[in-house]
Amino acid sequence: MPSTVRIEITPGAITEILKSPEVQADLRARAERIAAAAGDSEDYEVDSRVGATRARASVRTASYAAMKDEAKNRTLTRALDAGR
Amino acid sequence: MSVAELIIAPDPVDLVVTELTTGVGQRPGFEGVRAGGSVPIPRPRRFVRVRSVGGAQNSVVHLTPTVVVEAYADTDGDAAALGWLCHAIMLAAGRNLSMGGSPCSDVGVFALPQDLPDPTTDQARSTATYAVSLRGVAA
Repeated sequence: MPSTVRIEITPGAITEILKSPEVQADLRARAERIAAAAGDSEDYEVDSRVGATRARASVRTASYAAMKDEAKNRTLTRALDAGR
Repeated sequence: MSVAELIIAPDPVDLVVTELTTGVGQRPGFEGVRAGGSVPIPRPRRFVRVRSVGGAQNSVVHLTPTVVVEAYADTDGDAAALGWLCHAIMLAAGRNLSMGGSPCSDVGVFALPQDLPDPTTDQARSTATYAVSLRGVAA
């Protein structure tokens, strides 16, 4: 006899998980791996923050040399896989 | 002892170049515009460069390479027009489940076409980034 599985999602629980310290730490670690794979620490800047519905992390070029390298060689884009 | 079968992945640049060269060349106003894996010599006024910049191996046969499509032209407006045409062709390939004649289960958009002039020549350029889902084949 087939059993019935009932799933109840507590309102706000998903958002709570997406903003949790564990998710923040994971996203920050991924961003730092991407930045490290892209190059020197002074050329790439890692930022993490908690938004209204989820935590976010980002890596951006922090020097003219890194900006030019991305425009020419896609160095930061190529480093994205380090965050998987 | 058994020997694992070789699964050869298709070259994503070749497939996207084929798809874009065919698709762009058929559009009025874009006749003769070609796509390639490098900057052509001599350098045409308008062309598309396709670059492979990594990606993921999802299973033994399924892979998702990340591909950058760069549309070059004389002006920002012309580069944007070419970039957005390429974007439409990439999305259509995903819906048609075929990229350059090979199976393609999806085309994901990493970044929409954006203005990013070539830092070496300062030529107008529109670039976009895609995740193209492809299948390898047994050798």
